[in-house]
Amino acid sequence: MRMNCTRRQWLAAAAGAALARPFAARAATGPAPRVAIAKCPTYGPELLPAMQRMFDQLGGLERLVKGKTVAIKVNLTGDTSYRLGHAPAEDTHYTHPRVIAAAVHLMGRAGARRVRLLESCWSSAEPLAEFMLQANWEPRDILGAAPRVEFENTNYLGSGKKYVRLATPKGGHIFRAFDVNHSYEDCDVFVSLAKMKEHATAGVTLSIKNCFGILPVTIYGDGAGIDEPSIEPHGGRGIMHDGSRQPAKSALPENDPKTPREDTYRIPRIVADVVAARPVDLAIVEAVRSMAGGEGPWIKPSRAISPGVLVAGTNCVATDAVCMAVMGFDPLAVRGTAPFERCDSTLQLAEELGVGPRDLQRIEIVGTPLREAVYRYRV
Amino acid sequence: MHPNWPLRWPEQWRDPGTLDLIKDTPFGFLLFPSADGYQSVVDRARRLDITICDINHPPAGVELAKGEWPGIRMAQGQGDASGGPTGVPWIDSNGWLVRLTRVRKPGQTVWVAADPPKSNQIVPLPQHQVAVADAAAHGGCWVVTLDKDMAQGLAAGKPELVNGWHKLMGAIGFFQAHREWSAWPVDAVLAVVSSFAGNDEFFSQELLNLTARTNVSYSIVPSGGLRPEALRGLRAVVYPDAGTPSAEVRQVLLDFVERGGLLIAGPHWGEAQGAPAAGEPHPGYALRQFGKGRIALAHKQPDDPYELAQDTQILVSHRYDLVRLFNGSLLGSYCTVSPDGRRRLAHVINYSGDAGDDPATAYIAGRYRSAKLWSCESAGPRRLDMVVQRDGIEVHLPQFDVYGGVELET
Repeated sequence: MRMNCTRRQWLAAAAGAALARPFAARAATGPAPRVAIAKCPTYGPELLPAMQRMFDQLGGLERLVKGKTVAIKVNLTGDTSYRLGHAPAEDTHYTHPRVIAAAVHLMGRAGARRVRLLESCWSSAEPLAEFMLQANWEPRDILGAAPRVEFENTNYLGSGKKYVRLATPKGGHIFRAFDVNHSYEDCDVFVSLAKMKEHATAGVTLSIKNCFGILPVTIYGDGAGIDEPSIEPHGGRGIMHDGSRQPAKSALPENDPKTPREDTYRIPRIVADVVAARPVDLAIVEAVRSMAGGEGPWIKPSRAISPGVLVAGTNCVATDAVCMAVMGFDPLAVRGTAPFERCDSTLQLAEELGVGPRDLQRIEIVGTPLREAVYRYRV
Repeated sequence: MHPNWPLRWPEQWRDPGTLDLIKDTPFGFLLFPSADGYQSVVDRARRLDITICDINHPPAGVELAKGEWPGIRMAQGQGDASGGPTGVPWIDSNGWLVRLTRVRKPGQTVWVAADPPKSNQIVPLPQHQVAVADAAAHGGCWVVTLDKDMAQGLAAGKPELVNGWHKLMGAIGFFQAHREWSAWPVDAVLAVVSSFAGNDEFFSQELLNLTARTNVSYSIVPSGGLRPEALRGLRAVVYPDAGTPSAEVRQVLLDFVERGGLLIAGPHWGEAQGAPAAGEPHPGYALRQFGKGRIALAHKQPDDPYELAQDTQILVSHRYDLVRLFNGSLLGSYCTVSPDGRRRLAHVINYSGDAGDDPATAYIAGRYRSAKLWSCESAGPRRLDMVVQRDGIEVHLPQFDVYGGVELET
């Protein structure tokens, strides 16, 4: 489609349309998932009440987690030594430890039986606490935020005896199943606790894209074993990007190895498959502080920003759709339009798998009105 | 400043007049491969009170170590730095070698030299500066070795090369002016205890090299004549040797553990003392509590020094990192403390020789009254603002090409 306006004009119109939709009549196809927005200018004392308020607006955490084992996938992308300028990673591209601690605390207060923090630390088998220490974090702040808090590095087998297989509904776009660390199955409630960012390969990285890190590099990484998973994780997930080889043969291969070997085709589809295979029960996306231009300081140019906003919902596609609107993008955007200029929309692909809606008309937004929360990532 | 730095005399410099190039420079020793063809140069040098040496026979009081060109290893024909097992650029450094040589030859001056560049190889100026800083920060002297292009260009007075030469002399002069730093002992959390010889020579020395890359601050302790004082104040000891330790070594290490230290050893350690320890297990080790400390015994004798360095870092824990560098994948650090304990000095070497685009931040454990940065690229120190962290401080480092020394006053 040829655009008869400037990119800036189009962006303004798209954002305007996105803002207008929630107030229009909702589509009558099933109950609208609810997504809460909260303004939160700092990681100070206002953070905990803001998160509590959001969870209350979603129906209360107790209903979701009481007596349950909760697994929280956080976003600690890249090596701990990367910084955007001198800014600590948590102020730009990592989920902030205070948001993690607040979420853990509220889970504990709501009666969670056990809370397990999960992340596949970059190219490492070291304990998650050691990874955090390298970022100048104090893991005890999180471990002490609630009773029975555990960490697990899910980049490999970890404390499990074997990998578990998660099947993708409808056969998936690329993979019909994934073999992952046991923690993604050994939980009653799965939470994606993400940072609100753009992404060089997937357009945006929110609660859905955060789940790409579920995949253990021992099976889906550059250093994966050929027949069996490697014992130790090494390197990143380049083979998921370029499709240069299949995962370890112990896992199921791609549905069709003849599909394009382009990262902008593959990553959105794989990510959609992952959240279909491992449904997200609660999506939390934080952008009290964040970065614009990409998912980490290695993407240039990029800049530190302070949107001062939190978003949470029980449906990850709906939550990400609201996040996109907050960022000044149209959640219904498709390939060729911002922020998916080069790639397919992960939200669209997840929607196709029945994970959730991305049309704001089908989403109930509560808390801070969307128009008051908008922070345009692209100026 | 007394000239005391070594220069490998370039084979292209046959004219005695080329000695003018080292006039008023830090060079006090000229190293020749032989006297053949250089007699007139040698004669004039002696008249100028410059010491002449054979490259293979350093003067009394000097220990010559065979090193390598430090820097970021580049894949041939590629512009990008090649990745090591961690995926981060691979740094070559002589730091561990200088330190080991100093431990083995106390009181000796350590020179470190690498093979001269091949006839068609051009060594960029920053790499010379990095080599000087790498050796000097660890207490040694790099034997300056010019490539053919630079030697000929300097002799011909090419302005850009003369300018670069002056910068190199400035770097050497900087370290000469701070010669007292080389006497500052390492500020360590770990000791590597080994014979560093015989069957254990390669493994233990490679462990020193690779542990330095993990940024764990360690001291080098030969097992021969091991005394408890050598382990005082440390948190952990790694004993990498394949052989069973002598009764004396074993006793000193067990005493260290009983007082609260961590010992990391292989199965050749022998009978495991103590009881199974609580805490998060490491898949490759059995942890045992003994006295106030712990023993981590590897299930199998480590055969990969890289893996042992990584395991050691995890077993010791990043909680005890003395220095963490952010945007520092091309940087290396070496932490020392003044003899009176009042000042800490974190040598930071930029092995790329290029300030790059991303400014680095250093986290340094402890509390300090002031921080300043010394650099061989600027005159005098520069005050650094400190951002207080829970157990330490952060300083935002100004960008530098080669060397920054963060001096902290307690």
